[in-house]
Amino acid sequence: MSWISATDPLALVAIQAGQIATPAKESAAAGANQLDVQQRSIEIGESVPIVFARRRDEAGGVLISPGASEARFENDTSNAVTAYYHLVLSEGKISSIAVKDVFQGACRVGSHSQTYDRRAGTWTPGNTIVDRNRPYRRFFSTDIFILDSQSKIDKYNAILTSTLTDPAELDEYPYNLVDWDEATLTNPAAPEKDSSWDYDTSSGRTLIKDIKPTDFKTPEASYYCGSVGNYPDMSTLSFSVTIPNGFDQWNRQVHCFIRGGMWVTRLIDNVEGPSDNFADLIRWMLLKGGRLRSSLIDTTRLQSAANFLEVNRFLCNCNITQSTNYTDFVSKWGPYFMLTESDVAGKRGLRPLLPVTNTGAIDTGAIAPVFTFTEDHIIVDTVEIQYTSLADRLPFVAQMIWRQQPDNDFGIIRTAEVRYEGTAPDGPYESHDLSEFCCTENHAVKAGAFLLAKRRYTTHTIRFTARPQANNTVVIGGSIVRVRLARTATTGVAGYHDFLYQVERISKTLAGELSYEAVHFPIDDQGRSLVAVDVASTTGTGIVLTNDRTGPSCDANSFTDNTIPPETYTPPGSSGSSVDIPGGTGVSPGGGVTNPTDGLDGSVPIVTPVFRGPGGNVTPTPTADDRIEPYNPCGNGSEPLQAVYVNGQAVGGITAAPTELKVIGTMTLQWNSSTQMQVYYYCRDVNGQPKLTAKSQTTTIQAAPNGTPTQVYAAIEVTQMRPGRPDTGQTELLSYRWLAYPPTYASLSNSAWAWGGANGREATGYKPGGFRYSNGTTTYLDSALVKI
Amino acid sequence: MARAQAQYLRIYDEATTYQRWQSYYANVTITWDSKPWQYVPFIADGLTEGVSGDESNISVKAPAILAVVQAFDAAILAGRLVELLTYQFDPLFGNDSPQSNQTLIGQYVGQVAGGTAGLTTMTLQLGSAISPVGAQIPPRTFTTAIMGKGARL
Repeated sequence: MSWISATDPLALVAIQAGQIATPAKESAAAGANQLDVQQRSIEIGESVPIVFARRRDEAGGVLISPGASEARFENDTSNAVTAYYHLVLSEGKISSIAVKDVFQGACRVGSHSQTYDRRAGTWTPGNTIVDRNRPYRRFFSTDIFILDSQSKIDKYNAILTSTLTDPAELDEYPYNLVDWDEATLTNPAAPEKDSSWDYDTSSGRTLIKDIKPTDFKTPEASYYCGSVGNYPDMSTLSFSVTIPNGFDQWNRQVHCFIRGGMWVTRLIDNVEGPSDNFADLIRWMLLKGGRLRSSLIDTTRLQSAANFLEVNRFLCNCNITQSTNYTDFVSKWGPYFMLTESDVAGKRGLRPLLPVTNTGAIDTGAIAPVFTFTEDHIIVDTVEIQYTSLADRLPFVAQMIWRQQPDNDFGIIRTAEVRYEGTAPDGPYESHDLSEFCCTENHAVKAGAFLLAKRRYTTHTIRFTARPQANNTVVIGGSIVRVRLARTATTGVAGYHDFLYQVERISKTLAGELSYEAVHFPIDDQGRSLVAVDVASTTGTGIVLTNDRTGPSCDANSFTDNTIPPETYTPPGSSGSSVDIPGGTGVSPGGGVTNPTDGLDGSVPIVTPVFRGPGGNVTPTPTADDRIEPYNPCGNGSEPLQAVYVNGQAVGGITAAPTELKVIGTMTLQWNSSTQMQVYYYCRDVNGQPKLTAKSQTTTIQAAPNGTPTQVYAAIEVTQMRPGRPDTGQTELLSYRWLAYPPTYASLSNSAWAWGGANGREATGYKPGGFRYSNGTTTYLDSALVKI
Repeated sequence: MARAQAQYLRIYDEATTYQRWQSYYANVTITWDSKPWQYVPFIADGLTEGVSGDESNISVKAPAILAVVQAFDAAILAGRLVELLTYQFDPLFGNDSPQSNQTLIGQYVGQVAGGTAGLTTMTLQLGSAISPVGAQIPPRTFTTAIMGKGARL
C-alpha cells in the first residue's frame, strides 16, 4: 500500500472534540489595523483576500487595509499631488462601499469607484510627477518685477534690479508667477497675499520685489506603478486623493470599512448576499478552496450548523489574507464557534460541539443517549480509556481577545477574562485571539467558557469495538451514547464504568464490527450537559467602550455620507501570461515488442546451426530433431584441462572464412586456406596426472612453425546448452559460436603440449570439450572448445 | 436470525451512472432499487465517519479484470464519484437476491483519490479530492494574469 493507515492516539480525540490546546504563542491582536502607514502594494504570489462580513444590529463589519496593485501619481502646478490606487478588496463580489467608509490613514478623504470582476477606474498606472521647482533658477529676495497695466508681470520691462538680465528667462517659470498674479494681484496697490512681498508704487508703476521663492519638493512617489490587470471574480476599488504641496498623506494606507463582504448564498435563508455565518464560509471554502464537488458537501449538517450559529449569534466578520491549510483553518477557528468538522458518509460538513435543540439553541436540558453499550455489545478486551493529564485540567484564565466594532469608527480591540469563580485569581492566563472574526462580547466570553468547561469537566476519552446491532444505524458521528460496563476486577462490590460520551469516530469493517472513539460527555445530576449549561449561562459585561479619538478632525468627507460613487472600470485586457495546453488522450503504445538484444541471454536469435569441426563441416549436418549432448573427449574419468591450437599446414576442406563465425572481442578472424587446425586435448586422468588423450577425428598433428603465426585460431563454443530435455534428458544445442584467440603466443611444437608448458596456450575460462550429435540412428562425434 | 452484509458500489457523476457493482451475490446480476447490479468480487473496507482528517482510508480491492481497470481509470481521469453502500439483512430469509427490507447501515461517497495495483488486483483509495496539504485558504493567489506586473510602492 502506498499510504500509511494508522489509528490516532486516543488523546487526540479530545482535541478533535473541541478541546483547545494552549496557544503556542501570544502576539498582537490579529484584528488590529495600523492606520497611518504607507500604502501597501500587492506582491505577486500573495493570497487574494477573502472579506467575509455582514454588519447588522450594530455589530459586525470589518475594516480592511487592501493592498494596491496599480498606482498613478501626478502633481499640478502648485505641486499638489494626486495619487490613484487600484485596490483589490476581496474574492468574489462584495457590497458597495459608501463614501463614509473609505479612509486614508485615519481620515475620510478622497474619492473612490468600486466594481466587480474587472479593473476599477479609468486612469492608467504611471508616475507623471513633474519637478515643479525648476532647480536652475529660483527667485531671490533681490528680484524685482514690474506689473503691467493688466496687473501681469511685464516680463519684458520687469526687472529693475535683477539677477535676471534676460527677460526671456521668465518664460522658464511663468506658472508660478501667472498663478500668483492672476490669483492675487487683482489689486496690486493693496496686495494681501503675503506680507513678505514688497510693492513699490513710487515710480508710477507697481513694482514687486522680494517675491517668495518657490520651494517645491518633488514628491517621492514610486516609479513602479504596475500595469492594468483583469481581476476576474474579485472586487476592486479605485481610490484617488489630492493632497496639497508640502504634505505626504497621499501615500498613506487606504482603509475600507466593509459592511457587506463576499456574497454567498446564505444557508439560513437561501438568499444571495453578504454573510457573517461561519458555515457559509466553510461551504464556500469547500467548493472553491477544497475543489470539492457539491455532492460531497454535507449541506444538511452545514445548515444545522448555520442555524446554531445564527441562533446563538456566533458571528464571523473577518478578512482572511494569510494562506492557511483548510484543515488547519477549520480546526483553529471551528472550536471558537463551538463547531467541529464532520465527515459522514464521505460528505464534509460541520456539527456543533454542544448539544443543540431543534431550534438551534444550546440544549441545556437533560440529554438522552441514543444507544447504551453494555457487555452485550462491546467485544471483550477492546475497551481503552485515556485520561486527560492533570496539566491540561488545571484552572486558568481564558483571555479572549475580540473586536468591538462601532458604526462610524475604527474597531476597538478588547479583551475579556473568563475564569471559573474562585479559580486562578492570578492566572495562569491563556490568550485566545478572536479579534480576526469576533465582534460581539457574548461570543467571545462563551467561547472562553466553552474551552474552560471542556478542560474542567471532560476527564477522559474512550475507544471500544462493538458488534453490530441497532447501533449500526442509530449511532453516527456526534451522537451521545452511554457506556455502562461492570468492573469485575475488584474483590468488593462490582462497580460500573457508566458515562455518557459523544462519538467522534466510527470505523466500520466488512466483518460487521464497529470501532468507536468517543469523548467523555459530562452531565450533572439532572442529566444536563455541564459544558452546555456553563456556556449558555455565560454572558458578557455589556460594556461598550467609546472611541478615544481626539484632536481636530481630518475628515474631508462626512461620516454620514452614504453616497455610493458611480462605478467606473477599465475593460479587461490580455495579460499575456495565460498558457492553455490543448492536452491529449493517453492510449496504450500498441504494436509488438522490438527491444534490441545484447546477445547474452535467451533473446539472442537462434541461428541455424552449421556444425563445423576443425576438419571442416560435419556431415551429415544435424537437423533440428537431432539430439546433441555434451561429450568429454578425455573419456570417462578424465578431466579436460586445456586445448592447444596449432597453426598447421594447408589441407583441404576449409577454403574460406566461414560466414557463421562469431568473433569475440575485436579479433579479426582469418582462416587461411593453407592452414589446418587441429584440436588436441590435454587431459588429467583419474589420478590427477596429465595425459594426452583424445583428439579430433581427422587428427593430423602438425608442428607449429617457428615465429609468430599470422593466423587467428578459432574454436567452437557451445553457448547455450539446454540441459535435461523433458522428453529425453539429453542436452540440446541451441546455438554456438566460434572463439577467436589472440595470436600472441610463441611457436609451438609437439612437446609444447605438455602440461603447463611454456609454449602452451590455455584458453582462460575455457576447457576442451565437445559435443556429439545424433540423428537418432547414427552418432557423430566432433569436438571443440567448450566454455565450462 | 442471522446477520449478513452486502456491499454495493456505484460509479457515477451528476448526469450518468457508469457502473453498478455488487459483491455479495456471486456470478449473477441482481436488481436492486430497480437497477441492475453486476457481480464484481470487490472488497471495501475502512469505512470511517465522524471527524475529518481520514481521507483515503476507504479502500476497495477488486480483481484487475479489464472492465474494472477501465472503470477505475475513467473514474480517476474524470473525477467521477464512487458511492459505496452497505446493506444489512437476514440471509435466512433469502440469499439469492436482495431483500426488499434490507437496512442501509453504511454509505460513503467519494472520489478515487489514489490506489495501487498489481497484475491481478487493484486497490483503490476512496476519498475526497480535498487535499490535506494542498487545499489552501484563500484559494487564489495574485498572478500576472490577474493583476499585471503589480505596483511596487
